Amino acid sequence: MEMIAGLAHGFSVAALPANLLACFIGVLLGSLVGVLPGIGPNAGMALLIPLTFAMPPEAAIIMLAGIYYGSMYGGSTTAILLNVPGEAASVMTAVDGYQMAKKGRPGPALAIAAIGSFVAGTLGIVGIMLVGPGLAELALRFGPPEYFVLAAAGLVFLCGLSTNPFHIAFIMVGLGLAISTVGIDPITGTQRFTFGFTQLAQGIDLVPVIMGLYGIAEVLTMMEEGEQKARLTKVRFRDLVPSWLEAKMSFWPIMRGSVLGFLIGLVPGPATVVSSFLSYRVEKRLSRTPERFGHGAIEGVAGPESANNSATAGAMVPMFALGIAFSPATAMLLAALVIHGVQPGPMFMLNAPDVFWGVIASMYIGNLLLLVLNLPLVHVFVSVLKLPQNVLAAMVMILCLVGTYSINNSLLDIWIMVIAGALGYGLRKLKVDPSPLVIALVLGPMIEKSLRQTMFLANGEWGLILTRPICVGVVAALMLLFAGNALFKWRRRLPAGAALD
Amino acid sequence: MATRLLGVGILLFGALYLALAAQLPMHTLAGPGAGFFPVAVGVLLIASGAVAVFARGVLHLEPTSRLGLAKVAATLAGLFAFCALLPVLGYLASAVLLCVAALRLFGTSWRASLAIGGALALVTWAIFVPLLGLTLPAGSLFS
Repeated sequence: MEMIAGLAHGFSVAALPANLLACFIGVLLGSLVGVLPGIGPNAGMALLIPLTFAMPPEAAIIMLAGIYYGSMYGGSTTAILLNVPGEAASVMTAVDGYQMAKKGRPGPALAIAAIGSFVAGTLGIVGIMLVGPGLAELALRFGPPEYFVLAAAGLVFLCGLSTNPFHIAFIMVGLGLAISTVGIDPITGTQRFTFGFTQLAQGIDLVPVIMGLYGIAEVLTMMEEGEQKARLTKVRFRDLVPSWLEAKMSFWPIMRGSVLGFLIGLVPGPATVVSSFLSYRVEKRLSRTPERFGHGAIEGVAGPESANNSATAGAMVPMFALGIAFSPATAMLLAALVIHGVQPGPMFMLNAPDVFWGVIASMYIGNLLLLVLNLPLVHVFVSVLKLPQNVLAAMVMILCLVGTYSINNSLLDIWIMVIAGALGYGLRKLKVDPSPLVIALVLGPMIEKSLRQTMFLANGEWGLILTRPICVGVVAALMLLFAGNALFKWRRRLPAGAALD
Repeated sequence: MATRLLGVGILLFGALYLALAAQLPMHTLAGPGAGFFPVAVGVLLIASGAVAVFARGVLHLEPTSRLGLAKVAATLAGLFAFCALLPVLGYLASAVLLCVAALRLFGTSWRASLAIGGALALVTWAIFVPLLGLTLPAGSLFS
């Protein structure tokens, strides 16, 4: 009952003209960000945070959340039409989507991707409503040991599920934690690693690091690659309608993808990428004709596209309920909430119901808007790729510079962003995903504070952690994950016959 | 090779970080001090760097043409120059200079570079300063 009342209140907030406009702008920009390869939701949200300064918190978060889930819609468009995934999460969509386009069926692939995204996005929001309040209630019982174990285990989970090799992901985590220690120690007031720069006393902000790692690194990559022309396929509106058989074959993959994506979204890691990959594998394994996969199977589009969309909703649950971000995009949302004076966490729904329920309700509206926008206007979004790369590179560069400066009016932030950009470019050349660094930078202060409080409470005795059921549960889940992973690897190494025996 | 190089870099960074962290107070009367967590992070960096040095190489540096690399280096130099010039020349002049330089690197003509660079600088200034009420450096040279 409370949930229905909350949602009704949310709709009254989201339906305000200013919030509707924010939602529309958010999903529109999200689709554009998704279409443009390289400029993902992280850089997109970071670039647009300064534009939200003048907005009330609910409008700001509605717009930024719109960019996040909207980018998943846009990413599939170029994956299907050009075999260029706009997002890493759309890589699996490209496999069969592009084959369908080559066989003259780009329309149904786009339509199923959009419908699957809509269904999954909507089911994902239902998931947030069902899981979020319960988790927040549970989190009220959390003390420093629980927060420490949860955040630290989250980082280890992230390393395990990251697209990087485990030890490389650990290096990224180490770097992120190291960066998070710069500035005044919040407990004793001691200056750490500031080297006499007074501006560094406040620490290194998340926004310049994200803008550098994603935005500036993308500009540098564009500079290296030079002008690249995209060959665009024309899709007429009437070509979008899938056949009855295609619609029927897509139904269960969409449902399975939605549930799988949401559950993976709850777990730390690159949820959108992992969920689309897993959904593809599940659909291929369940199919009676797995040989069609890779040659234009509609289930290979429906499942992964649904999974990556509901994963965005799942990833928002720990952010709203615990105030913990496990992905760079939710870290940006978290940063935006803090900038606007709203503290996410267990009390978030009670302290800021307008923001929480407003954002939830706006996601229903946003998903509907995305469906309406993406199907008839697909050719408009694709034509964005005609924008000359030189103009795009200059535009992204200038927006990164101005955006970073305006967060704190700090020149030092721009220096940090440029250095992060150089680091991000280097990591791209090595094909290393920087997201564990970003998440460690966000979680670092929480891990340090809760660890020190735990040590103080326990009088230096680590055993305290093992007397707390939630801590034991999290540690056990972590051990299970690693044991399962080791077993999986061991079985894969065995010859086929030996494994069956 | 790339994995080892990264490992050596992290090892060196970790050692430097740990040396600085060790100078911070480790304990206070109220529990762990400001140096407690950084020391742990330093150890983690050194350990993960050492693993990368001795483990099987998993990273490979994507090949880059000399021209591509030169363009990247020039863009980075331009960005650093922007940081240095911003307090002196202010936002508009520095932004136009940076955009023109970047567009020229792309092979855009002088005329188009000036037009696009000028337009981008002006539009962003108009959005951020009069419209959103934020401030951008005016430049010590002009104030």
